[in-house]
Amino acid sequence: MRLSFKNISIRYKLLLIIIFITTIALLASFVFTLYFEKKNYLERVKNNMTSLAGIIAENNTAALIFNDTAASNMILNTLNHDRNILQVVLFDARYNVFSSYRSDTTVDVDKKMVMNLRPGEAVISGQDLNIQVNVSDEETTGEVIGHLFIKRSLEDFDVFIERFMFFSAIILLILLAFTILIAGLLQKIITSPIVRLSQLTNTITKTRNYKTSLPYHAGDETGKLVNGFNEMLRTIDVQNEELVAAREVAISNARVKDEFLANMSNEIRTPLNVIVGLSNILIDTDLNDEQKKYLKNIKAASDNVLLIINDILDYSKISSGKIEFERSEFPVIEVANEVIESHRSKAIEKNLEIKLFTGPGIPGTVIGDRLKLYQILYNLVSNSFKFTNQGYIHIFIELEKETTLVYNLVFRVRDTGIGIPYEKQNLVFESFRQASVDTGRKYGGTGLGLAISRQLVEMQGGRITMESRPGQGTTFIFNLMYNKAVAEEIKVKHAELPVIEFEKLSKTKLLIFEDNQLNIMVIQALLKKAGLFNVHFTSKEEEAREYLVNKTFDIVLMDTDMENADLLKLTKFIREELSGVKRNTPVIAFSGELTHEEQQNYISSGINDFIQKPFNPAEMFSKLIKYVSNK
Amino acid sequence: MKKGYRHIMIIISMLMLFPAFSSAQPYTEYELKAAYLFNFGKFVSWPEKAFQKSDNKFVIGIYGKNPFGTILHETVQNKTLQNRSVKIIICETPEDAKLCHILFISQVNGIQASELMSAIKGLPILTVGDQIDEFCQQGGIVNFTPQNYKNRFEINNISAQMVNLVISSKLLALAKIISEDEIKF
Repeated sequence: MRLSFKNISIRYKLLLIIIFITTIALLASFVFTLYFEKKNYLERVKNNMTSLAGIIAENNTAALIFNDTAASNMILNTLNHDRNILQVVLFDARYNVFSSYRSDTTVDVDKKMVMNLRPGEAVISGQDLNIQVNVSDEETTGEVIGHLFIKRSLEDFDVFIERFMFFSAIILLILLAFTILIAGLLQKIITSPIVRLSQLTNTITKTRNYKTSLPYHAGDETGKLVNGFNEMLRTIDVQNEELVAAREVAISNARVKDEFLANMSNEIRTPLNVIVGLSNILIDTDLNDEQKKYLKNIKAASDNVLLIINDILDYSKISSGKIEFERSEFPVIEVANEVIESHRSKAIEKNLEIKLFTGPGIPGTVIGDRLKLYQILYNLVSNSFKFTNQGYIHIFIELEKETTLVYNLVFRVRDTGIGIPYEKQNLVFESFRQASVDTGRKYGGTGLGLAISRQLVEMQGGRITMESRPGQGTTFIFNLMYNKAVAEEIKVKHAELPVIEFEKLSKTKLLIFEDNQLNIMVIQALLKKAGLFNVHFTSKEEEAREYLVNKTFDIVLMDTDMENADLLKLTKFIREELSGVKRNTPVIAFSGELTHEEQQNYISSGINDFIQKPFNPAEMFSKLIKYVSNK
Repeated sequence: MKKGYRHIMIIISMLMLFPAFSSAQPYTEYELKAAYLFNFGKFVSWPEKAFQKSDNKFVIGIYGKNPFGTILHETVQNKTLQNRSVKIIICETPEDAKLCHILFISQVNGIQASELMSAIKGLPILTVGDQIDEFCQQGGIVNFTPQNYKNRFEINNISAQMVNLVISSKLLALAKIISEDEIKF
């Protein structure tokens, strides 16, 4: 900060102002004093000289009359004690020099000058004062018998000025010192509340504690300022409290909303699982064509509801920041193929081409979150399906860049749909927004799919953009960075694997610990379809223990969300109280979506694996086969 | 002490300036003395009653021989002293002298002098001796001194005070003052 009058503390401002005023006042008084002193001095000197000249003239009458120059000289000489008198000359009536006294002998008398002086009047010329008086006769006739001239120096005033200046300077310094001292003490009256106010402001800025005030009561401007400040603090404090309360209400409302959404979704999902599961089973039973058609519609509708609910759940997870990203090895191309496969039937239905194109150098496997990639691609492809009625939907995967550690992959989903007007393009990624109000009515959907995709891409450090022209289709482009897998080998897993190994499963002994009747029904149906008949169901912990002690099972399946039983207790029982091979019986949990942390907790409690609800037959069977063949 | 110092100063300045003064002197001795006589009248004050006998005129008397001729008359012509017209009288007897305010005494012997002095004793008359030896010491008030003296005249202020005459200090400053010790009467 530049040092200027504006920037210095009020304390010093006041001091400077006081010093300035004092100095000006003193200087003015000195100047006036000097002026009047000079006037006074000149008057005094004039008067003195007039009377002195009169006295000298008077005293010289006898000397003049009796022509006694010596006596006259002597009288003039009596002036020698006054060093300011430069010259005294006594002239006779005809201006002949009668006698003289000179303190400065080099000065000659200018007779003309003397003659021009008016008698009795002192005249200042330069640094001198000249006066001439008539010497009158003793007689009252007053005959002029001579003239007396005196020249007096005015230099003594200079001496006076010098001395005056010296003492004035001393007085000025003393007064200034005194002023500074007094002002230094008195300025506190003005600055102290301001300084306290400023300190309080600093404290408030640092601590953000508005529950304070400055105790200062005065009727002056500072008092009003402090009052206003205190009033302001009170207002801010009240507002703060209101805001905090409002914020808490809002937060709790949001939490309640999220919880409600999650609960509702779960609540809906559970019966939906049953609908989907039983529809799957029912479709393989002996039904006539009409029944099959209805059932297909039921299944399609419930699949759709499930998707929507999953979207809502994902969205609430993302918006509450609860989402986590897995880091495991997975095949990228396979994920894309899975997405295509899941839309295959729809493609056939709408007579659309759906195809994957891969550029050179695409790695077999990468490390990252497989499910999230699936979700992103699935959402984009689903979106394309919604808006495309003819032509194709193509997925492109290209390697944009490869470093020693990272692949940067670019994904494109191109369709030949209706396209999105340019001005709406930046809206489609926002939550609950669709390019047109009636889009939802016409094409369905929650409007969350693209928003979720964008969040998932950006949370993994990627970017998603789009290119579109109305009537010519849309291309969504996003890139993702994946770490390189340590050992890069292509593991091609066949999707139809479970069908082949059903035989292997048929002899598997399972204990299923589940208390939800609907779930039991779905599981039973699924297992029956796969030819597994050696299955024991239980919903009571005691019974489960009895089974475990008395029999040997290949796999134990338990639900994580039972009302009256705890799978952890039972797992502990298996791992700690059973003996021999029983102790190592694999335990698989039926669970909802779990966070990484929750999974780790279960795993460390002895649970081997998870089967997610709603039950995906393929997932379920592949997990079962995994643990059967591990034996 | 101060008075003594002043005397010395007068003497020194006189010594220094006297030659110049005398050489520039264009007047005769009695012209000068006439002027002096007249001017004495300016520096002395007489009691008011002294003018009652003389018809309110200022009287200058000459006792003994008149050395002035007409010079004195010319000097005082049309002039006033103490705001009064000036009258010159020649005093034949001491009795005549009683009317005078200034009495010039010239070339008188000791007997005449003491006769005169006793006649005018106590009267406010400024007696002026024309270089009379021991004039002031004998009771005279003013006495002209010989020409080469430092002072032109000497004054016995005590005698003046005895007859109620007040001599201006300015005049005293120009005179040799006869001290009390020197007075012999």
